[in-house]
Amino acid sequence: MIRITDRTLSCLDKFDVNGEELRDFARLLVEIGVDWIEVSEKAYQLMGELPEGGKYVLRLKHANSAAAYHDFHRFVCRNAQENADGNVCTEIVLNDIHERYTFARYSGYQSVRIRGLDDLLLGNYTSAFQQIRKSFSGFVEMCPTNGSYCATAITAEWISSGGLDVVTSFGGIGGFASTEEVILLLKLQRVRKVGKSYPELPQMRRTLESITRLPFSHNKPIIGEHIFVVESGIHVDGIMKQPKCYEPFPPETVGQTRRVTLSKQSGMASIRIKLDELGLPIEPKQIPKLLRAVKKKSVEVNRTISDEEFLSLTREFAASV
Amino acid sequence: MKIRKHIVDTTLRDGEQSPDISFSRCQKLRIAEILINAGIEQIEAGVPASNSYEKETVRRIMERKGSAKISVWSRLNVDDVRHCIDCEPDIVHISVPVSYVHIYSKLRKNKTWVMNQLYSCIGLLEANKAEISIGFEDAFRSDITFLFTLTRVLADLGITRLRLADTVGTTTPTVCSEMFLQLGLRLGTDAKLGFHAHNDLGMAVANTLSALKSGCEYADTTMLGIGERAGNCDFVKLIRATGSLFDWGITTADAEHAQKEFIIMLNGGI
Repeated sequence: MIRITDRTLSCLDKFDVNGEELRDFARLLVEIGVDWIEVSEKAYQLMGELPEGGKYVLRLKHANSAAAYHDFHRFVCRNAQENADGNVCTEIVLNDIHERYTFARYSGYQSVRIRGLDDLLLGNYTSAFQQIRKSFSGFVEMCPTNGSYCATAITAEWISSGGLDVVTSFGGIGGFASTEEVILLLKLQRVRKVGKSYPELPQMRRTLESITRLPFSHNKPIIGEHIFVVESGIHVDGIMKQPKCYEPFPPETVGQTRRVTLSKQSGMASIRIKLDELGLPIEPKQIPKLLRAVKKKSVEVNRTISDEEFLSLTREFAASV
Repeated sequence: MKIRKHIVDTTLRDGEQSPDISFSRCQKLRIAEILINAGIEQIEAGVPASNSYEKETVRRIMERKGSAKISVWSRLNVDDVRHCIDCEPDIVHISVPVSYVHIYSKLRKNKTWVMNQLYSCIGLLEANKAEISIGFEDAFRSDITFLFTLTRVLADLGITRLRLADTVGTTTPTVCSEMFLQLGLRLGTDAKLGFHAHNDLGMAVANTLSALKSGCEYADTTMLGIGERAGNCDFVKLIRATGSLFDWGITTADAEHAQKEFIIMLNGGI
C-alpha cells in the first residue's frame, strides 16, 4: 500500500501563522486522506492539540528530544543517529545520486528518508532506486526536492519501481513534490483511493495562500484557479462531446467547475454554450454571425469577452434582425 | 560532448490558448522578436484557419523571421491545410488524433477516415515547399498498434518530422521514454521526433527530459509554461533542468533574459 506523508505543516515556521490555521489545515489533510501528517516542533506548539483522525509525525531538531513528545509515535530528524526505540526516521540529504557514498554511514538503519535527488531523472533513475533499496533493508521513504522541476515525476517513478512511502507537501511548498499532484496521479493510475474526490483542495489552496501571502499561479496543476477555464473553440467542442478529450479528470474531482470563455479563439460550440448558460434565445442561423462579432470584439479589446459584453452583442443582433 | 536538441516555441499557439492570455498582433510580433533574439530555432506562430486576422499575423511574422523557422498548426482537414499554405510558412504541422476518445467521441469518425484524411492533407502539401510535420494528438492514450501503423505510413511517404503530444498531461517519464524508444526503432535515424507536453500533473519538464533522453530532438515549450489548463513545458525551466545534458544553442542566461522581456511585454511594456 502506498503511503503519503505530507510535510506542509513543517514548512510554515517562517510564516506568521496561528494554531487555528494549522489545525484547520491538518483537518483538511486528514480529509484528503494523506497517511501521515508531518508537523514541526514550532507548529505543534502553536497547534496545541492534533486534530482527530490523523496520524502524525514530528519533525525534530534533535533526535534525543523524541522522548519529550508523548503524542507522537513517529519522528523524523535530519542526519539523526538511530535511537534505541527505532521511532526516529533519519533524514539523509542527497544533492545527487553520486553522493550515495553517504549511504554507508546509515546502512543498517531501520528507518530512513532520502531527501533531495532533484536531478535524478538526468541519469539512470531505475538503477538508482535499486541501489537505494539494496542499501537499506528497512523502511525507506522518498522525499524528492524540486530543484529541477521533476519532484512529482521522481515520486511517480519511485512508486512505479516498487517504492511504497513518499513525502510531499501541498502546492510543493518548501520545494517538494506536490501532494495534490501525487494523489491525483495515483488516483488516475488506479493504485490509490480510486473512487475518492477532493473537493477540499480549493480551500486548502486559499488557506495556504492566506498564510504565506503568496498566491499560487492560476495554472498551477490540480489547484490553479483557471485550469478549467476553456477558451479554445476546438477544446470547448471536444469537451462538450466528451470531457475526457481534453480533461484528465473532471473538475468536480478537485472541487472546481468548468467555465467557458469567449474570445477570438472561440468556435460555434462556445457560442451555443454561452447562449444556453445565459438563457439567451437566438436563431441558430444567427450563430455564425454572432461568432464573427465575438471574434472581432475580442481582437479590438485584446482579451476575452465578458458575459455582459456578450449579452450586449446578442441584444444588438436581436435588434438588427 | 552534449547532444544537440532544439526548442519549438508554441507560446503564440498553445500558449495563447491559456484563458488569461490574448495577444494583439503587435504583441505577437514582439514575442516573435524576443524568441528569435533568444536563438529559438522554430516558432509555432499560430493557427491560420482560426481567422483572417491570425493569418495575416502569421504572414507578418514570416516577414521578420530571421534565421528562425516558422511553423503553423492545422487540424486534420484540407481546408485548414489550405489556410496554412496561404501563409507560406516554413513548416506545416498537422495534428492527427490517434486516441479513440479523440477519433470516435470528439470527431465522431473512425480510423479509416483518419488515414484517408492524412493522405489528403499530405497530398495537398506535396508540391509545396513547406516541410511537413505530423503530430499525434493524445498519443499516450492511443491504441499503440494504430499509432505504429500510422508511423509506417508516414515513413513510406517520406515524412520524417513526427511529434507526440501528451494532450492531457498524464504520462510519466518511463512511459514516455518507452514510446520514443519504440518509435525510434521503427523509424530509424532519419526520424526527427518531437514532444509536446502538458503539465496537468506537474510532469511536463520531467516527461520532456525523458523524451529527449530517448531519441526525441525537438521539445515544445512556452514562455512561463502558459497553455491550456495547467499549461505546457516551461521554456526556462527546461533549459535550466537539462542544460548540463543537452546543447540547446541557448544559454540559461539568454533564456531567462527572453523570459524577462516576455514578462515586460505582458505587463504592458514593449
